[in-house]
Amino acid sequence: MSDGKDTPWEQAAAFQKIWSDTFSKMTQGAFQFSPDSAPPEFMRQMRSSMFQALGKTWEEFMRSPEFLSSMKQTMDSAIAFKKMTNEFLVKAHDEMQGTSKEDLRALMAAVGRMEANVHARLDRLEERLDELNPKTSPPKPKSAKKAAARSAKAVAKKKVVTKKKTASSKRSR
Amino acid sequence: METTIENPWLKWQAAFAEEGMTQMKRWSRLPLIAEKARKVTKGATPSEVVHRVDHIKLLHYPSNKPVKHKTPLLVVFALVNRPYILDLKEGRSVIRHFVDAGFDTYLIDWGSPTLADRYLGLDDYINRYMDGLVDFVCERAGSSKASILGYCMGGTMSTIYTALHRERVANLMLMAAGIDFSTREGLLNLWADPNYFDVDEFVDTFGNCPAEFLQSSFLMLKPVGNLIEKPLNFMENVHNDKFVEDFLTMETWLNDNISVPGEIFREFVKSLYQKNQLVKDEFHVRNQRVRLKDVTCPLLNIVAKGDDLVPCSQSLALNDLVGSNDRKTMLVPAGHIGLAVGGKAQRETWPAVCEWLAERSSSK
Repeated sequence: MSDGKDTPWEQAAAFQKIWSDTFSKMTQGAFQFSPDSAPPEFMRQMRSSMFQALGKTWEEFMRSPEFLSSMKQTMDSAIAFKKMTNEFLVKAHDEMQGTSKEDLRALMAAVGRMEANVHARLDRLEERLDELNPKTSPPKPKSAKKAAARSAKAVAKKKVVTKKKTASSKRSR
Repeated sequence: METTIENPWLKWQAAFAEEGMTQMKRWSRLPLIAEKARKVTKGATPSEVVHRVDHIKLLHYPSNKPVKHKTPLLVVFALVNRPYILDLKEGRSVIRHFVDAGFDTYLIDWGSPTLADRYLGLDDYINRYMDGLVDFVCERAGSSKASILGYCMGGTMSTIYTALHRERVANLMLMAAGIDFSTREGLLNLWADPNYFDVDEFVDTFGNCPAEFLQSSFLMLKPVGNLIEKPLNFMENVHNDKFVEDFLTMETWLNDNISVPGEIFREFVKSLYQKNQLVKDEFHVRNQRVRLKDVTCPLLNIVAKGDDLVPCSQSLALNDLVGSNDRKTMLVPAGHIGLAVGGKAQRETWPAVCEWLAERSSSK
């Protein structure tokens, strides 16, 4: 399953090689049998070597351009289907004067952009303040400044701290 | 001299009879599986939620024993699965090792993102959430710095955080953290190739990266092992209570996937998997350039030899790229999950990690 197998014949030959390799590995595993082995143990050994061979084959196949191309096709189809469904639902919501997920996404994107702008503006203001007041605010490493700002933001965001002993009952069990 | 010739048929007969009896035992245990699955618990060490920001919870693990080290430990898990893999069950808990060793231990539970979180990116997670949580933990512990343990994607995030906020990190410990994404050893790296995966189109259409998509991708990393061998192995050991308990606990976690916010998924795939910007010092988090040389604190890089999700080579590169003088790599003969819950890791790796951290943490 190497590169450059463009014709169906070459692809089929590559697949055939993988499977013939697999069966030869399986057979090799099956014949590692000693007369002392009890049948269930022997069966397990044989099964294990079969799966090992199969695992290697699959690994090789999943690295092949054929698999990667088919994976891409599947992904493209899934994305196209999802897009089609989304468009249909958006239209349906629109017709019913309702709010669709797409509307919410657009709204969130707008809020996100606004937040980014506010952040950028705050950063610029902070830098200008530092430039204006170099004596009163000694230079701090950039990351420390940001950490301090974010720490203040985190404190503001802090919600009610809930304490919950979750695992004490599990332990007693 | 008398020699006895053993009839091979007798041996075979006995083996078949034994196998038949075992098979009957297996069938008799099957009806009990659903009941056992219901009893599976998530998390073993007692914890309390000490802080909440949006959908994120900060868990603290109080201990009956006195805290020996002043520097608190913050554990950062990936955004992909739930964090209780680090505290799976008694005897399989990374958290328990740290708590017992006298560390003031905290864990970030990133929660489950909703569609409203699709625009959350690395800047939000690293500069807003992580930084705020480190501040909170340090303030609570009365320390100016915290030690960080990052696992998988959480390890990559912890490395970026440390590079951007080095004054806040006392020690950095990473478990199977992806750093150098140029390798094609792992299938995920191959599947994320820009020729085969259009992440922009994917995120624009789906919003968040669906949990089912991630789950099926992880299953496909080892389809024969996950879809054939594992169920067969389970059926063979269904009469073994200990095996069933471990299996169900692990499966509960493996199937407890969460979706990843679209924007952070896009950044990870595009900038790291596809462009490998972190090792090239080209990666930016909101206009801040991430330079790995800025990681100057002591570094312990714990790498799993048999990791199929984050191959060794993806993690090992870090030690040569950071600015730390005190850096160590610990190679563990385990897989991606075995690194946390595997028997050998529990017996040998985690006590050694606790020792490493104790030597570098200020005592109380």
